[in-house]
This record gives sequence, structure tokens and C-alpha cells, in this order.
Amino acid sequence: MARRTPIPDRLRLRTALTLACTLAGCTGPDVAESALFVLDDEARAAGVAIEISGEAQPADGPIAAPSSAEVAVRRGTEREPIDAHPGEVIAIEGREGRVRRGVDAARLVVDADREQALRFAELGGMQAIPLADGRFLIDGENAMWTALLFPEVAGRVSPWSPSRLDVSNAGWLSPNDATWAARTTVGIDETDVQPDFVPSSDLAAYVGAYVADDLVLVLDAQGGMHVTGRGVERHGTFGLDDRAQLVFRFENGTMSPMRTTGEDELRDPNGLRFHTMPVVTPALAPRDPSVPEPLGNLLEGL
Amino acid sequence: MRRRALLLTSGLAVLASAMRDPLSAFAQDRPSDDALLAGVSEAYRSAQRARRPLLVLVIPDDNGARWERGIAFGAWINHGSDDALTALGLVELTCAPMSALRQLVPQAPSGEPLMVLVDPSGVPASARALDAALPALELMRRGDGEAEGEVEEIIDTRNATLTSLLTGALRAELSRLASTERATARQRAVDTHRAHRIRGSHWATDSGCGVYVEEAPDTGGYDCGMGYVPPRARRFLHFFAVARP
Repeated sequence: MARRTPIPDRLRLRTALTLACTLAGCTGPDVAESALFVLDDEARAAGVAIEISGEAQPADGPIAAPSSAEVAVRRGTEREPIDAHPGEVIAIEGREGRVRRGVDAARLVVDADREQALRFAELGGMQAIPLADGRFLIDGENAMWTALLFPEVAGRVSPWSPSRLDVSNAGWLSPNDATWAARTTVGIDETDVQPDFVPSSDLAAYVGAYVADDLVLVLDAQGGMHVTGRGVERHGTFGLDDRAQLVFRFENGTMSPMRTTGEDELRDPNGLRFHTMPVVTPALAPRDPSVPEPLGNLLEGL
Repeated sequence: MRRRALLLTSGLAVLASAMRDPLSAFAQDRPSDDALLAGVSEAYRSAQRARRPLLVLVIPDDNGARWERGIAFGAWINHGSDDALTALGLVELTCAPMSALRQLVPQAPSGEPLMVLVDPSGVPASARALDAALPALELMRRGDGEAEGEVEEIIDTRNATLTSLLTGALRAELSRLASTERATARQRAVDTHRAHRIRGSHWATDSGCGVYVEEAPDTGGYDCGMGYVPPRARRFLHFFAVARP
């Protein structure tokens, strides 16, 4: 699959992120010097705010609070001091501004369109997973820190709740794998969907080996599904749903519908396109005349 | 007669030497795992779309065994009986090692059977081993005057065994064919499998004066003319690619 040339902004932002992370020590032990707070939409709409040393903070993105600072949640006239531990991520949720500790720093929800979500995900080598409400789950190490460093790219951010059931399709590539650039680049591209193509209702028609860059997808003749490549190894099964659409079911129970956009092409929810693995017949080299012909040698010895 | 036996022995010894020494000029290179998988996948999908069974001629891991099978399959496809051609005309053919086949067809049988017949019409697909012991060419290196006759007997036995395996597995399909359909199947076997390259292999010819790989530029041209290989053993399946040092 041909790779698009990355846009300059992307490189600039990646470089900036690397520098910022280095300077801020976000990949080293200094990360643990601050706690992060994230409000959800309901809390924001209700006027709930985070105060650091008595000053209300902008609430669209994650808020970093140094461990030495006095932090409080303000709900109208009420003010609740919070003893935040360094490195901890704390969510403030609902109209009541409930405090939820131990939030996963590798996941957050962005209120952004598809392209913006993919661009943000690409900054940190993360995965953007569409949600049923039109927002995107960002999944990847340092997701919160990336949003903190690049609020203009992340847009409005909310904490991810593990109890949410509104994932319209589960992402199926491991976060932090080495393929994010290709994945996101492909995702931004619009696919030329063939309007007259009717996906097969025959499950056997999908059996085969497919590739997308350095990822290999095998749909085996037993109904198994295997994705392997640099940093990725996922297994599961595949089948057809009640609309005869191809669906992947992963070991962890998540499901992912696949679009079939051509006879030999499958497309995942993030836009990654798999093509049937091409057969390359190696060119046959001419015989090297300097190589002795073995029969002649044999006869000489007889 | 003694000279002919000597030359027969010599010609076959060329193959034997190649069997023993995988680093010889006739070694058969093993492509990457992905390339092998791609070949199996293409054959499987082709069979599924054509609604035909997929017959996998199994490429053994051992280089010597590879030559043995390549010669056996070559003689079968080129000189098999009408029954053999009829059955071959009903299938898609590919050559593959079991490791690649099992990636796509995990239910494939264990070991390295001669052939695996896969029905790709459903999921899970069915796969069955078609296996039997074939008499080895080692017998032909004795160099006595009866060697030629033994060669012909061995080829007959091998062809009959392979034919029996396939026709037995396709008995139901074969029994449904009208005579015109049988003729069509035979013609397809000739036009498709004999006349063209079979996936995972190249057709090659050993005239006793070196191995000529079809589709390969300038693989022949040896100036000897002394070897002798029985006509029915000359055209064989050269698995994988041709290795040239």
C-alpha cells in the first residue's frame, strides 16, 4: 500500500511533542510530580471547576496540578479540597462534580471531528476509536499528557469511563504499536468506495491472507482471525452479522465491523485498508555459466 | 545394455546428488513465510470462487524429499491415466509446505502427507490428507541391467497410487460426471495444470544433461549429452524458486 507523505504540521507537532516531553520529563520520573484533573461535559456545563491555589482553571483540557499546590473542586459556592497524589489522574464527572480517582491516563474522549481526532491520535502514536455519540476515544500511552501539551489539537477533552457502552466499534490494533503513522495516514484518506460492489454473504469468500503495510491479517478456514505485525498480535474469530456484514470478534470480547470495499479489500473502522496479500513470483535468474554442470562432474568421476 | 544402464544410473545420480546436497546449484530456495502464505491464500481464494476443491501438493521440508515428490507429481500430471486427468481437472492445484497451509487451514492434517484436499466452500472448511507410501527412486541407482524396467514399474506404481488417492477422495464428484464432462475435465487438466505453471512450483525438465526450468531464461545449454533419464521422469515440479549461486 502506498504511503502518503506526512503533512509538515504532523512532523512539526511530533517534534514539538518529543521536545516538550523531554523538557517536561513526561516520559521520566518528573511526570510523577503533578496530578492531572479532567472534567466531563456535564461537570463543565454545571459550572464545576478545578481551583489551583484558589484560582479556577480553564476546563476544556486536562489540568496539571503540582503536588505542592492546593487543589480543590468548586461546585457553585461549595469548595472541596482534594489531596491529589503525584502522577494521579482524577476525573470530575456529572453535574454534581463527582470525584473519580485512578483514571486511566492512556484513555480520554475528544469532542472533535474525525480528522482532528486522527491528527491528535497521531501526535502520540495513539488510536482514535469512533464512539456512538460522534466523539472519539483516544487510546494510547500518554494520551492525557499529550492533550495537556497540545490543547489546541486535542480540543475539548473528557475522561474515559470504563462503564461506557457507547463504543460503536472497538479499535482492534494495539495502542502504541509502530503502525500508527500508516494507520492514521490511511485513515485520513478517503476511500474510493466502489458503489456497485456488493459484499459477499458467503463467509468462505473472506478466507485469505491480507496485508496493510507491515500488518498481516489472516482469516483462516476455521473461522479464526489473526493480526500480526510490528508490535501487534491480536486473535479472535470472524463471522457475519444479521445484515451479512463481516464482523471481527476479538479475544477480549470486543467486536469490530469491517467494510468490504472491493473484491479483495477490507477496511477497518479507522480507515485502515487491507488488501489480499500479493503473490510475488521471483524472477528466475539465468544460469551462471561458471557453475560446473554436476552431471559432467559425475561422469568424469566414473 | 550395460552402457544404457550406466547412463541411466548417471542421470538419476544427478538428481540424487541434488537431493543430498541442498547447497548444490539445483537447490530449491525456500521463499519467505509471507510469500508462501500469499501463494496458499491466492490458491484458496481462487478455488473458493471457482467452487472447486483445492488440492495441495505438499512440499516437504527436506530438500531431498522435495525432489522425490516433484518427480512423482510431474510424472503423474504429465503421464497419468485418463482417470487421473479427470480427477485433476476437477480441482485447483497448488504446491505448498504444510506450515504455510496450516496458517490458512489450521485444521489441515498433521505430518507431511503427499497431498491435502481442501473443500473451501464453507467455514470451517474440510481438509483431508491423501497419503500413501511411494516407492523411492533410490532403487534405481543400482546400475544393473534391469534398472530401466524398474524405473517404469516404479513410475506406474506411483501414478496408480496418486490416482487412487485422488479419485477415492473425489468419488462422489466423479460419479456425477457425464462422459462429456469427464472429457472436459481431462482437457482442463491438460490445459491448466500441464501447460501452465502450478502455484508454488515451476515445471522443469531433466534430460540427463542438466535441469531446464521452464520460464527461466537460459537455464539450459549444457554441453554433455551423455546422461539418460526415463522419458516419464523428465518433466517434474521444481518447487519454490531456482537457486543460483
